[in-house]
Amino acid sequence: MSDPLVSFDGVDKYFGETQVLCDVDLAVDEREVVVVIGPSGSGKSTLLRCVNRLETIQSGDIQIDGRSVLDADVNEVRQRVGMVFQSFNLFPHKTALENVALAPTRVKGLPAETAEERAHDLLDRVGLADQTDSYPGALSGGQQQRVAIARALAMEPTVMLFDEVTSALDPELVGEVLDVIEGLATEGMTMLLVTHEMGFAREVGDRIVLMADGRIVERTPTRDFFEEPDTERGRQFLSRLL
Amino acid sequence: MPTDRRVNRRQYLSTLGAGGAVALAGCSGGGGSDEGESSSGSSDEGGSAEEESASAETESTEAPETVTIGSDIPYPPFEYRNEAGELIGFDVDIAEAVFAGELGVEYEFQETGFDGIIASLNNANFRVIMSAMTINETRAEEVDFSDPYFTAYQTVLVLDNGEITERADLRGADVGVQRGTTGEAAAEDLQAEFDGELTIESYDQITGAFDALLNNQVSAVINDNTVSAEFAAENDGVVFLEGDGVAADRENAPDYLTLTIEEYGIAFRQDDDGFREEVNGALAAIREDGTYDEIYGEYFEG
Amino acid sequence: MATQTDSETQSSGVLMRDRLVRRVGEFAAGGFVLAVGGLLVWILTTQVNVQLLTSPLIAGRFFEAFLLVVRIVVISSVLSVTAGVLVGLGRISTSPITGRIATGYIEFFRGTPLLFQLFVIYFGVPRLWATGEFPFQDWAVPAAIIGLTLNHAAYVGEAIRGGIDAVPDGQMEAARSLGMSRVMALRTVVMPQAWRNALAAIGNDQIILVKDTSLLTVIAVPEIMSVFRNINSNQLDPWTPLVWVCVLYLAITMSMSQFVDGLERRSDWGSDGGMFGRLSRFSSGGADDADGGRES
Repeated sequence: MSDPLVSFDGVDKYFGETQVLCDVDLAVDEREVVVVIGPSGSGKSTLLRCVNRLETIQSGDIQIDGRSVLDADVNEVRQRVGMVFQSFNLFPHKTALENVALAPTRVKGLPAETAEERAHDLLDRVGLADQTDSYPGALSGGQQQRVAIARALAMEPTVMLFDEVTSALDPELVGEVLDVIEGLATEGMTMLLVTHEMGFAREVGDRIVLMADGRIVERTPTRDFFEEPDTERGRQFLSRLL
Repeated sequence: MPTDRRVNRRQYLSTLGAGGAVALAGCSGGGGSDEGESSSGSSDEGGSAEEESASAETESTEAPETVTIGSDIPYPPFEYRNEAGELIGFDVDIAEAVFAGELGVEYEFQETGFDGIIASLNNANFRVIMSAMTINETRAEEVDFSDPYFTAYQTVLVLDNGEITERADLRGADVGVQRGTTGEAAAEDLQAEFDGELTIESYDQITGAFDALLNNQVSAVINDNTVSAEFAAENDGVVFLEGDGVAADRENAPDYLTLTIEEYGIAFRQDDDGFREEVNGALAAIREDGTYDEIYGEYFEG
Repeated sequence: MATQTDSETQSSGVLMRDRLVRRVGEFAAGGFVLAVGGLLVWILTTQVNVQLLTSPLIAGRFFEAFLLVVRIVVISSVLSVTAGVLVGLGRISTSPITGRIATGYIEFFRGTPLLFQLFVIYFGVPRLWATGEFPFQDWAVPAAIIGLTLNHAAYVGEAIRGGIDAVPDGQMEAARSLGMSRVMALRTVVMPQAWRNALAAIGNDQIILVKDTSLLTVIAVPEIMSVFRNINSNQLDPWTPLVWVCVLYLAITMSMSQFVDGLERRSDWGSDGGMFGRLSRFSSGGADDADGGRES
């Protein structure tokens, strides 16, 4: 058994007086797709955001590839972790191509041509080869989110974080985004997803992690979870969905 | 329904037209004033004199109960405030002697900028101007002056250790003046004489010009001798430019360079002849009975 | 036309109210224009001495003053906007020292009158030297530029800060999650958007800067108002030179507005009306186009 790619050890986090993560332990293996679900306020997004230090933790450790993210250079850590947000957060003053090529050029120092070539490829992969010169304002939500995925992939991260990436989309646009994510999973990207799309979780996830009140209450392989959750909490959650 | 709307539109238009006409009529009346009179510049104002005498409270006099006096303060030693904030000066004392002493009415000085002071007078913001104001033709076209009550000379102040030692040195120099004064006019004459080789910096108050001299922004200040004398007395490095000027052969003239000879007068609106005559009478009276000499002696040593 | 139903009467009543308000607005605006316009026309036709107006002496002096004002405005504008960006960045700095200094700067220069600041620079600073020793003999224009720059940098700084605040937090988060440093994220992602947000406020402030040059008359700068006051006190005719004052200031301020509008239009990214939005549609042929037409 190789070491996990991402691991949480006894992580506690407070927002002021309120504790939002309680003693979280989690190990994510390479090429694994972990889906984090739970009621709102359970700490799912916070969990994700701690991985790339968009949130700080008060105690415990988070490691990527065996190295703690806490004392490493934060910008370096973030180059290895790709993140896609619920509200896309594309840069409105740059075209799709420029959005994807920006970080590789500025942060990695890639020459412009190389970065642009790569950006073309990535946009092609997500099905947007014909929108390279469009501005985000001219794109639909689904298209924007796909550009966002390409942008995150451009930095060649070792793990991808997806924070409720379809929650802000019209239903008919959700499918195109999920298709892209599924493609990534097939190619073997290590992923942590927070989502409400249970059908998708069932198809793509390797493991379900259920959170409530800042704690992990259940972690079960996907198939097992949807047939018969281990915990009472899990059963309650599932029954509410069906 | 449609008919009603059309009627409404007509009503709106006519109300608008009426309103506009009223507004225009009001505007064309000229500048308003506190005393409720409307007067502007040299337009025909025959009616106001009668209004004046009709509203006067004292018997057989044109003087109002309180004479408002427009003045540019401070301008020592003519009008300025002492440390306690009280208004003092030559003009103030003359006003006391003429209005309170001879005519038996109250007076009140009103601070105002010098370069708009004549327009203000004609807009009836005050009754007269007493502000060390020189009598000249241009001004006499807009206002009427009392008999002269003071003689002054335009002089030049320079720095002791500066480069200007005589009149000819002013060519090509930077000169400070107060905006709208005869000092500015004298500077402009000089500029013409030098074929334009003179830069004039105009300041709102004479103190600005004096400061500019100390700050090396101008190398000379052209201003009335008495006011400049006060400043020169308080500042060691500042002296009068020497030389024989236009007043060189006059008896009471100062012994430094003079550019012009000027007389101060009290300014009245051109329709205020009655009041002006009374003030002239008062001026004559205080000269006769020695009051004038007393006041003069207080501020100027001969 | 049968009698209307209740709902119809009600809705036409509501319609009347909206239309009424609109009409009142139109007539108020129209009335105002008529009154002011009428006044101006009357002044122009009865009070203005056209010969004096166009005399080379008067016109020439105003034109020289105009050039000086344009010069001062251009220099002060460039300097104040540049300084303002620095002040705005200082405001959002993570360093408490820088942040507090920037805030203090804004409080002082926004909170005291420009007139006061001009006095201090023009009359006060030279006093630090001995009598007659101040080295800059033509201090009026430099003092003016310094005063205007310092004063307006404060307003521009606040406008920039507001522009930065208006950029969604997600932008900075996205940029940083890609590995960009805070400075790089500010430079490439936040500031271009912040600038766009602040443009209207900055343009507004710069137009005020143009009018602030009228205050320079008190430090003996021979600008437009100074020329007016001189001519007014010599000729005792205010309306004629005032025509020049009005025309010349409007020439500068309106040009500036056009310029700012142009900047705003150029930085309009995306599908609605932006230059870039339309171009992108032509090249990619993707989204539906309301005004039809693909070029190729």
